[in-house]
Amino acid sequence: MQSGTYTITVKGKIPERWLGWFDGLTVIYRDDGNTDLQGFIIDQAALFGYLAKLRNLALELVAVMPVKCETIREHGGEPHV
Amino acid sequence: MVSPNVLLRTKLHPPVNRPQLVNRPALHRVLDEGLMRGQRIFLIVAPPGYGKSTIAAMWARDTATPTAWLSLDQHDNDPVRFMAYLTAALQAVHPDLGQTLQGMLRSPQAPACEVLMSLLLEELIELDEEVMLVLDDLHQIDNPGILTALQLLVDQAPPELRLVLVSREDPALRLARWKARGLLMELRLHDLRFAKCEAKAFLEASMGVTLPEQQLDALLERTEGWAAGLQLAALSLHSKGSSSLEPVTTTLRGNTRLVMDYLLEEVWAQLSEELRGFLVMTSCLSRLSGPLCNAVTGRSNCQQLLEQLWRDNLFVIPLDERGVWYRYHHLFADFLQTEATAEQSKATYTLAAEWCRSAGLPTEAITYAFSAGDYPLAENILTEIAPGLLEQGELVSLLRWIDMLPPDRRMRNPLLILFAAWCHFLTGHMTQAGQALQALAHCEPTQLTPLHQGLLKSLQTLFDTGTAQAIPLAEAAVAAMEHQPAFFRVAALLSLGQARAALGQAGQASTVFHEAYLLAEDSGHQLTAVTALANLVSNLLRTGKRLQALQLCQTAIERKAADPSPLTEVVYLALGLVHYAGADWQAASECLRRGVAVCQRLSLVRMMGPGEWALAISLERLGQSRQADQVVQAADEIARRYGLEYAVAYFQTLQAELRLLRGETAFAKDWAGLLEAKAGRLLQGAVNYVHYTYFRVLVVSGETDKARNLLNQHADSARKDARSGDLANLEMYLAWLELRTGDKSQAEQHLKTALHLVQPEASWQTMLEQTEVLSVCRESLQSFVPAGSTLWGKIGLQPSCDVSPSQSTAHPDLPEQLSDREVEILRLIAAGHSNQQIAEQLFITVGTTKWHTTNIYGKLGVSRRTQAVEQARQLHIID
Repeated sequence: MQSGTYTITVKGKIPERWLGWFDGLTVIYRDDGNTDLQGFIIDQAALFGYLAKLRNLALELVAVMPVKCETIREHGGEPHV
Repeated sequence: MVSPNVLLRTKLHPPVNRPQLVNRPALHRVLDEGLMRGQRIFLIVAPPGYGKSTIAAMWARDTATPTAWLSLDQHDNDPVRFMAYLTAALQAVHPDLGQTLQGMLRSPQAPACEVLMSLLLEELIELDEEVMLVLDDLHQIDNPGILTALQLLVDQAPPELRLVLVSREDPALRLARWKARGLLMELRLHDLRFAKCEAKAFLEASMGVTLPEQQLDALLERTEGWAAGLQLAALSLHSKGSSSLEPVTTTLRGNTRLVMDYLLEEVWAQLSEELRGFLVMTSCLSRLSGPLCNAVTGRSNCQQLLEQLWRDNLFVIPLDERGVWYRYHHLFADFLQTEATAEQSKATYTLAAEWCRSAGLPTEAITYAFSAGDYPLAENILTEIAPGLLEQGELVSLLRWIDMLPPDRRMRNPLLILFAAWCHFLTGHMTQAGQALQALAHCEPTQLTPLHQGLLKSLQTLFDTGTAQAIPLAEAAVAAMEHQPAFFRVAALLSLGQARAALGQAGQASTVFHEAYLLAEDSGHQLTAVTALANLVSNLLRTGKRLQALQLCQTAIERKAADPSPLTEVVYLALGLVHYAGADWQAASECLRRGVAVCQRLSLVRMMGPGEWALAISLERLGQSRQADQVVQAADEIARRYGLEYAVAYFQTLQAELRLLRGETAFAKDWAGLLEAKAGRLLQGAVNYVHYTYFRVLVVSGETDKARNLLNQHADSARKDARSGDLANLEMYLAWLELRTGDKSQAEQHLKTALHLVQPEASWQTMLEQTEVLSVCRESLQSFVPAGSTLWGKIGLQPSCDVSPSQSTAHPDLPEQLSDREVEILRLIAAGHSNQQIAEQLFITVGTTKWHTTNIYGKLGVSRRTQAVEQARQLHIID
């Protein structure tokens, strides 16, 4: 795969204490109560690395989507660092 | 030397369940019913905290079937290490299991994981008792070699094996076949959720908490029946002494993680300051023991604290029955780590690394050092354990750790470059190994200890084998290794042996290989021992010491009679070569078949070449041409599959040899051109099988001067190196060549010299290579060879017969002349005799008769008896 920006949507709100696990990704709490993790992912290994972290935290994965540049941060909700 | 050879026993122990832990009879029943239905593979897959390991451990505890348990972690992604643990796990329940793997596990030349697994499977199939194998945390495994081996285990699991796979994700294995046949049971998140009655019982049994119906319903809904969530809820209630779960049951929405965190924080808040400090400091340890925690926290009461945590049900899991090692539940450990600062974690990692290093737990030590980002420490520990890792064959781990160091650090450390070079060499990555060696050329030799000097020089030798400088290098390696552990001395000796053998110094090579063989045997390095033995035997044969080689093989086989290891079978490869040299084609082919088969089974592809060659020729001699072709075909396929370019050329030469034996000279002549071009490398160095084929082609093609020159050169060096076995062969080729040029008396001189060399050891293969010489010079043969000699039986000639000298006249139309014996047999065939009748009449075996008839067909260019008779009549060979 080419490296690129991805949005990983997780069910519910990821508690803040765990955000350190997703360094490098922007966390967006969505209006629908779910959480988006968005950012530049260098390769498949990095992507699977994030997915494994979600699995290990027993978080529920909703979607993984590549993002075109212009659509970044156009979701509802405020970006959280 | 620091040995990494510590198998952590805690990995082979199921987690100890709390006595008051609620049984889950419903799940038990599901599993038991599956078993009754004949299901054999049990896949338990769910996110952390759903009680996967717990249910597996309970089932293991309650079943009458002996259970092997293996808790996997990231370090097990080394095939050699994985197989060592798997074998140890099975041996814990069946001490006899894994015997055939002895001597092959934990060796740098260990066969592929898949090969070892197939051996283990054979033993499991033999075992007529049930055994249950639990692989816990299988999601940790992503090494492709291990996954291939696991697939084999799954595919070929005998009915007696109950395989329980516990993982956070579906394993990367193909299980569809089992599923389709109804032999796979899956326990997934849905199945592992606590039902209401289970949750009720659980809360009461583990915490003595009884919740009102409504709250219980709400709790189950919020936690989605998640075991860890329930346990936390119970803890939270218990510690507060209340029976309210107000926020959990009313306000918390979203994901279970949120509930979990809320509850964790609740529990956390209730803990004493002391306990919290302890938990935070130790949160990043993968295993906990009292002494390790004392070292990390500076306290002295950690054993008591761990026991208290266990009593209070605070997410510690004992890893053994004695209460020595514990670990935190993964979810709890993750939570604790978010409470720790980066500095705290770093300090803990460093202290843990030091403690583990001194406690003889180097794998854990190095992992902690890396986690601490303490590269100098990691580098130190790695340098200490590298020789041990190399010896144990944990090359994947060794390379991975070297690569984890920052480039400037690992490229400045000559020792690590050296070990990386060895790893590359042993895994067949010659280019990388060569590059590493070149990088080493620039470093200060003073930095190297004798062990490292020895390793460096041994490796350099292996690269320079075939050149003159290889010998002093190898000698220096042997000298440097003098006081080192046996494994390393053997490695240096093998390099020296190969360096000598390549230069034709077969006698000295034999001495070296003999020493290596004895040392490897004594130190239990069985795989290395058989390698040394095979080399020893080849070199003894080159020096004409067939009887000593025979003795060695027989002793080795006797000594290993009670040893079930397939390595014993490898000795038959060597024994087969000895019988081959003795022209005992039947015995040779039987032994070689066994030896080649076991080499194929163990993928010892580099050892097989000479065995396959001798097997094909033996079969050809026995008249079994079709089987001979099959051997070549199989050998060729393997060589291609493993990308062994030199072996491909080698087996093409063997094909040419077989065609020549059948009188098909055209193919061989084509091959000669290719041989010079393509296999030039095979024609370098001391004489070997390939040379002989080449000589044969030259002679058949009439290039006698070139052949004579080459033969004389090789004979000179064979004489110089006292390689009497090689010399005898060369003399016989010279005899044949002179016969072809019409100089019979010169031929007889060569024949006499050869006979003199091979008679004492009955190395008759040398003689039988040149049937034409034997038949044309039969008269002089009779004067050289005593009547009682076994040679007469081999060549099917009776010395007492009144045989007249060669009566056959040359037939210019034939590329290769028929011998008198062949003409004699042709006459009998023409008279309508069967092979059996001919054999009886001529006092030879049916095998020898067939061999002659095959030769006759080859020379006449026919494939059937009737054609042979017709052709011979047309050429006036017979009336």
